[in-house]
Amino acid sequence: MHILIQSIGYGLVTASVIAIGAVGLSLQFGVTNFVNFAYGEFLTLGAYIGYFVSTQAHFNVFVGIVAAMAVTGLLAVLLDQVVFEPFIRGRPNLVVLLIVTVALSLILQNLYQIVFTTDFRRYAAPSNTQYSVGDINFTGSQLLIIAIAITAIGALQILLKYTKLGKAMRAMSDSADLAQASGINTRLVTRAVWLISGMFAGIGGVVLAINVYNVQPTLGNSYLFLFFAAVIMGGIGKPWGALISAVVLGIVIEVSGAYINAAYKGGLAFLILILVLLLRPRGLFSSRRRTV
Amino acid sequence: MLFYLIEIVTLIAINVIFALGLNIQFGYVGVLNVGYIAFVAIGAYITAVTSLGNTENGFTQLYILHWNVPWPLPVLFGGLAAAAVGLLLATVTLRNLRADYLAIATLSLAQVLYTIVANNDSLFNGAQGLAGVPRPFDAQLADASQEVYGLVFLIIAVIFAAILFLATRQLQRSPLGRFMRAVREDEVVAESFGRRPLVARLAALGIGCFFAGIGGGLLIEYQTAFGSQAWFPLETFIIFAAVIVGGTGNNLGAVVGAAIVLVGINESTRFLPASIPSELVGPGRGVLIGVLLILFLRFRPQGLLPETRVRLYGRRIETPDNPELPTPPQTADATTS
Amino acid sequence: MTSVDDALLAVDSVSQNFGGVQAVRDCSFVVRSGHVTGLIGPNGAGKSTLMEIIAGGLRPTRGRVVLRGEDITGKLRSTVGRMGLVRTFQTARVFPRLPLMENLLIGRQVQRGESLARAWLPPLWRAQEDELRARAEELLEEVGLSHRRDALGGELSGGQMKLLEIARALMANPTLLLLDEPIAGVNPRLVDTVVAVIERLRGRGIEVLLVEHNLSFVGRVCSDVIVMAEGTVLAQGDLDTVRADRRVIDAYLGSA
Repeated sequence: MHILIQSIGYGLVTASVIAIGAVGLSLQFGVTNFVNFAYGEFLTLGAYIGYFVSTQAHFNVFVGIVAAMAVTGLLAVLLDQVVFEPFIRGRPNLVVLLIVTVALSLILQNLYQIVFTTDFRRYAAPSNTQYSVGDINFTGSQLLIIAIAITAIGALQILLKYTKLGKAMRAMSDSADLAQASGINTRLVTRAVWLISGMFAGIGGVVLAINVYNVQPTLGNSYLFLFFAAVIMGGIGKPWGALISAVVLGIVIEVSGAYINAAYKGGLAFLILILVLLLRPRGLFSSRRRTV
Repeated sequence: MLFYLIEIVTLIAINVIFALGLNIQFGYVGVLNVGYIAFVAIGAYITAVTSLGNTENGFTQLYILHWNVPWPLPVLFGGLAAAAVGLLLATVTLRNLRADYLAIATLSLAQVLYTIVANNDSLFNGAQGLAGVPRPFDAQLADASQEVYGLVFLIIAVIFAAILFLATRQLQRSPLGRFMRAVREDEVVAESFGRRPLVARLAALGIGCFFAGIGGGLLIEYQTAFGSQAWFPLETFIIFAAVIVGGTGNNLGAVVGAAIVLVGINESTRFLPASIPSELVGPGRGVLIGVLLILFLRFRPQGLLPETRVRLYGRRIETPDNPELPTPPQTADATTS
Repeated sequence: MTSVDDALLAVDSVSQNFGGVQAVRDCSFVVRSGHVTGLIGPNGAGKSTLMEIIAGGLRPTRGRVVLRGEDITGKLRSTVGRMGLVRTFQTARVFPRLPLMENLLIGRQVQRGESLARAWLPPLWRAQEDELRARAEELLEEVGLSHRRDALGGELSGGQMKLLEIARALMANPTLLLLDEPIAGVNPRLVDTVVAVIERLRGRGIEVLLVEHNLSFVGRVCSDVIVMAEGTVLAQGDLDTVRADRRVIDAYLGSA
């Protein structure tokens, strides 16, 4: 029984990591309407920046996060301008765009191997103090992860709900054509979305590094399909749905991980993804009727 | 030198099979199988466990099935197993109209299969993989020199590649191939003319995965061993590069692309100056392939050999090098006004 | 008045909501055999939405569509297509990277060589293929595109694409042909070709329902006209009759 409760606690930590990545991915997917297969590499870069700033240069963990957000945010905007934009002009071809993002993932991941080598970099935990919340034991780092996730997603929610930019993003997510017709500068909003999505990758990368204590070139990529699972479960372009799905996924993974071989945790998440595709292809929280 | 040549042509032949299969999926019908290499792996593993039997061949390894069926049945089983998994996955994910769902599902499948196979010794001997896989005509050619055996295998691989090439070309010229192209170009129109796009996509996926499995089977027989490092998920993109560089939709392009990309890039690194540290060669190759893919998609999307207009009236007409041709909408949209 | 079940095509109390916007409201009409029927109305009258509903692209919020006595409401496009109802599109949708011949050949719905097993055995489908190619050649001739037969779909002009679409639809031997703005963007010289093609259909037992803005064209080819405005049917009859209808005049003047 104690194992169960404790693993639910770890589940919340894993959920927080998945949620940050999934929310950032879902936001961009919803607005630009193509999925970014290089998102895992965005996170990896964030993790490296966090490692260099916090572990190597001994700055506070938050300085590392801000630096990571700045770098990955800029990377995302840059890639949108230089790489995606020429493909989107005119009549975009979804399949081509998907291949471009996968090619980017290949390029970035191999660049990391060249620049940072394949060594595992040990990320120094910000806090190893043990805290008990009810029957569950957390380290300070784990509580920090949960707090960061809540803060980041909460801030995004406020942005989406109460700012002009946020409303424009939601409008574009519903229908880019309608948004353009109603006078929204879709190009500018798209750029902002890439920036925010990139910044979330920065946060997500550092949080991921804190959670697994190390950084290496495939770090982000190995979590990518968990983000996808949460995005699809939650419904594309619905950050809230992605958040709730991340919690479900995180708890299922960690609870099952307490009882079965750790190697099958990913398999279980895949099974959930397939079940969702089979039963609720538009996401668990979708109310939209399927048009033929 | 002769041995090197035999080896390189054998690898081209096997890689041509991979490129042809991917071309049917990506080039003909336009579905994106990002986990293609996983189907190669399924073919390889199934070929191994249906031909290894109980012979240890000097290796201590764990695996399932322990069959020992006569050649070429193991290769065929490899192809069928890959096709079955591909069809199963596609049936689940393609009921949606979104092209990205299949891409996500195949990528996830590749990653999950990779982890499970690498971490579970009882399936295919874990990360280390299987070794000592019997080669075709091993018993008859037990005394043959390496060159002679290499030549025999080369002939086998070329025969397989040739048969599959002819089958692909026949498919392209058949009404089924036309149906696939129509779905790629505009699935709403294909639907309005009584077609179910899912049928074309499933057919292309099944056939393509079958090719991947056959190629995988030949690959493991040629190398006699196959482990996790042989099918890292991103390996898929070497095959994608072959198809795109060669010319999406063109079978001859797949052959040329396979020769140029797969062998060219892999082998040219042999001649790199010794000053380049060896651990940079692999990643450098990855970056190169990625850049090549993006540049081709941007500046020469039709590839080196553009899709030919299928032979009509007894002559062939090349598609003009016109990248400005409108690309069709890719997702079904309920057009309303 | 023909009843819903006897008619060639009947639209029965169809309504369509798009998130609170009522594009079509309680729309009913019957397409009668032996006529070329025109569906006209000002922009935003709901014509295109209705076309989508009839062709199976959209399930209406309420009401039903009946084709020769069979309820086709909300059926898949492919099912509706196989029942002999074939369409063209408002903005021509040809296969841009396929040659004209292939564009046309897709028009025929049941092809032996499309089966996974038979595709590799040409003797099993060669006869049908030859027959279809001959038919496609005839149709290319008929719509005046034979001289461009080596072109790709995407290389045609807008008007030529419209003609190619009509020819492709005719490859299907439809019972009912839906033409969505058949002369929009068509060069005036080619309009006569469209008129001639439609006129020849009468003799072949192919019924036509078309949506068009150009009233003089409607007057030339249609013997029955349905007028829609604001999502509902205002009048039905021959062009002169509906033109004289008070509500029709109001609707057109009101929207101008």
